[in-house]
Amino acid sequence: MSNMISVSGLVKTFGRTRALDGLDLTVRAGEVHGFLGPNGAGKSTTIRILLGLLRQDAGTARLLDGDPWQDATALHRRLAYVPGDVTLWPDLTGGETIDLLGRMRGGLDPRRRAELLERFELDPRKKGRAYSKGNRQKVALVAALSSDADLLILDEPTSGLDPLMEAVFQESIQEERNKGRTVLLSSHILAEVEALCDRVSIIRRGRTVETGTLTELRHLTRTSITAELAGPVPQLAGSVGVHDLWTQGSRLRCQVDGDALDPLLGELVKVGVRSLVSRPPTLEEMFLRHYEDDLSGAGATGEHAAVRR
Amino acid sequence: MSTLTGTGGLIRLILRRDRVRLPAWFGLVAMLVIGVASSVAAAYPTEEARQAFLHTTNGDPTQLMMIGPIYDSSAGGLAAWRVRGQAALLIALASLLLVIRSTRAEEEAGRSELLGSTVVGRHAALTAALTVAFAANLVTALVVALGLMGQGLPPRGSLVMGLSVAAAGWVFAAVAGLAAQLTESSRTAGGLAAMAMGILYAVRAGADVEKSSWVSWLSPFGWTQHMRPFAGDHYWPLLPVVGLILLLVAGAYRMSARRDLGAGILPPRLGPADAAPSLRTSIALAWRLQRGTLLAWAIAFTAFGAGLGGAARSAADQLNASEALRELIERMGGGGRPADGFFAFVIYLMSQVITLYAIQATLRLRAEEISGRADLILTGPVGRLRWAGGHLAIVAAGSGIVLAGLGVGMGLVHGLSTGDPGGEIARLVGASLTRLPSVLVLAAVSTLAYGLLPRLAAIIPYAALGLCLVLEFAVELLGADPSILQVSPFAQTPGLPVAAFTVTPLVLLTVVATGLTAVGLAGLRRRDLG
Repeated sequence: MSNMISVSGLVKTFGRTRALDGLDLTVRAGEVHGFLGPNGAGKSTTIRILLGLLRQDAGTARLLDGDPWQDATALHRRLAYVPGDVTLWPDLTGGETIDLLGRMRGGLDPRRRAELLERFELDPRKKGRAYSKGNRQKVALVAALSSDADLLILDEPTSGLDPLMEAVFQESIQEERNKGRTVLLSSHILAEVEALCDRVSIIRRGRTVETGTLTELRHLTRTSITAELAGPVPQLAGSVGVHDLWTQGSRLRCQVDGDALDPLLGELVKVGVRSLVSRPPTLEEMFLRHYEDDLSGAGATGEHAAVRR
Repeated sequence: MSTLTGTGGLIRLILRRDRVRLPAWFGLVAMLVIGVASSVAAAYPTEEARQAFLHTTNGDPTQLMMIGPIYDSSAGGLAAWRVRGQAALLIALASLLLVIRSTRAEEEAGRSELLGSTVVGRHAALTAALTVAFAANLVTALVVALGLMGQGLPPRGSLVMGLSVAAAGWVFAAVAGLAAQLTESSRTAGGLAAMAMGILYAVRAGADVEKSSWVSWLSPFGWTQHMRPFAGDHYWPLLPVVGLILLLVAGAYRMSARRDLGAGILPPRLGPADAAPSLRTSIALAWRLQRGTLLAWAIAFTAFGAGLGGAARSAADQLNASEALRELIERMGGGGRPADGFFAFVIYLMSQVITLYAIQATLRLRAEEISGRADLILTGPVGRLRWAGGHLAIVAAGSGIVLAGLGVGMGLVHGLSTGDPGGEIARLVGASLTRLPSVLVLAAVSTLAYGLLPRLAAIIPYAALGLCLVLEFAVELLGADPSILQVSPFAQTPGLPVAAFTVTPLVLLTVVATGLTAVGLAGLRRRDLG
């Protein structure tokens, strides 16, 4: 089994809203897969279909070589899920909830549980209604991480955590990866995705717009170049693939498409390079580019022409 | 900033949010009173007929218990009596739910925090909720008064009637305002207020059966009854009503001033860090979630049964004196003891009240689903059928336990007076449990609605239960053919201990309940969750 999740052409409508519009997603065994998209892009809907809570209108979804709707109960033995908005039973303590969820899945490792409670600084004696949002999320995280599931499905698991806990979370996910577990991580926190994920899928309006390793995605996008040359900057405006050019005497800054990098460097070397800083695009830049495209109307339909106004 | 700043805005918010619910609940009460009044006049057109009815009723302990005595044989007097109990309970419930919904439930959901960060004073939410509740009751009183006057009833009596109905609503709005301060959970707060309502109604019922007028002054339901619309028209019993409301509201404000937002006066405690070994399945969780409600209902109905068992003796004496009723009981198939007639009737009535438990407990599934807590269970290796089945098994067993509790309470206390507690308990528990299939049909309607029409799940079963009650009104007052009662599952089970036991209707109702449940569960398996 090389793919833990394979989804293609997934469609789901709610009334007149088309929440998923032919979404594709492949998560390979042993990888941490980032699942990115703006609010309302369809991330949670996809996850709920994978969990067998919703049924797709069209397309196929396979999870752990099974059908998420038909084989839900059997598949759930092998996965653990952390929802984005965790609600707990008001009268059960955090510790009771963790134990219950773990036991239903066939037992949890008490040492691992104790270690995680300490690491996340969670008091398991409080009642569900007394926890803050972040602490409710910690309860669900501890329950998921102390299980021995093959696949972790995490839907914006850190949206309520403080930066210290965010670091603890990243450390824990690294450990899970080292144990060979597969993680589907839906997130808004791009630094988190960049630090953790082997591959990412970016979705927009129910469709996948990019998927691949960060390196692959970077190759498709622009690199920032800042250089100081030995002589005046050559005529570059109008060169294919060079954007946002700024020059002053012998200094320049610009953004270069992946395949225009080589010709540009050739031009610069001809003049002589004194210093050169090249920075690959951050995930944030890639991400924003997709949404800026979105907002500026690339591939616009009438519907989002309204957004542009 | 004053502690009341923002009250006006919150009032508008409540009116906007409850723009359907508010007129529906309170309009229902007004329509009930006006509608019944007009049909009473038609059902008993002559003074003679009304006199006869008055004598039968005032000699019938079951009626004294459920509603109380009739004070006047005029058309207005009869009408005022006929709806008094239901109208008071219904409007009290409407006011109670309104206040809890707009105070503690908002706080529990965290929405008050959002509002509290804007320019809103600390007492504004409570004040707004109480203002809306008091105003809604006042409007209902006026609508009732106008409606009754429109039928040609005396204006003074009509107004007193309206106010006596509203007074019950006012008192329980204030009770709910206080209960909302006590606990963090709106469910518990609502339960506390409803329990107070049940106890106070039972006090009034006991007082009327025992003809003890000082006891009836212990209950607000007694006070509103003593306003005697169309039979003296007293305003002065509103004095204790206002006094109690002032006391309750003052208490609520004091507590609200002392506690933190979101907290209760009863402090939250730390619980165990590890789950008990038994908490390992979805059924164990369902039991954990349902047991508190079940325990409260079982205790309440055992106690209530004990009260009924205590009243049975004097009820039986009075029944003996009432020839009409003795005949009726004989026609129902029982020649036996008059006390049995009383028990058969109260078991019939109470089984309908216990149905509220069954519906409420079944709808727990919906609450778990929309809160997202069901996801935590259903994304584990638990199928939907197993998850729902656990809850439904508890509903079925729990309904049986509450019914049996009623029988135990009645049998124990009545048995002590007849000298055969063991035998009475066995007979009355058996009689109560005979009604279980009727209760389960309504629980099955809840499951059906939950599986197929989840958005309407909170309405359909209550409407179905309401229909069963309305049919009785229709038969009694509108002269509808009694055979339409056959639609009601409560008319199908035999009226033990008077009637003879027959197994066929029990089997049929069980089959119907199983079928409806199966269709509901099939719907649940097929549909999207959340």
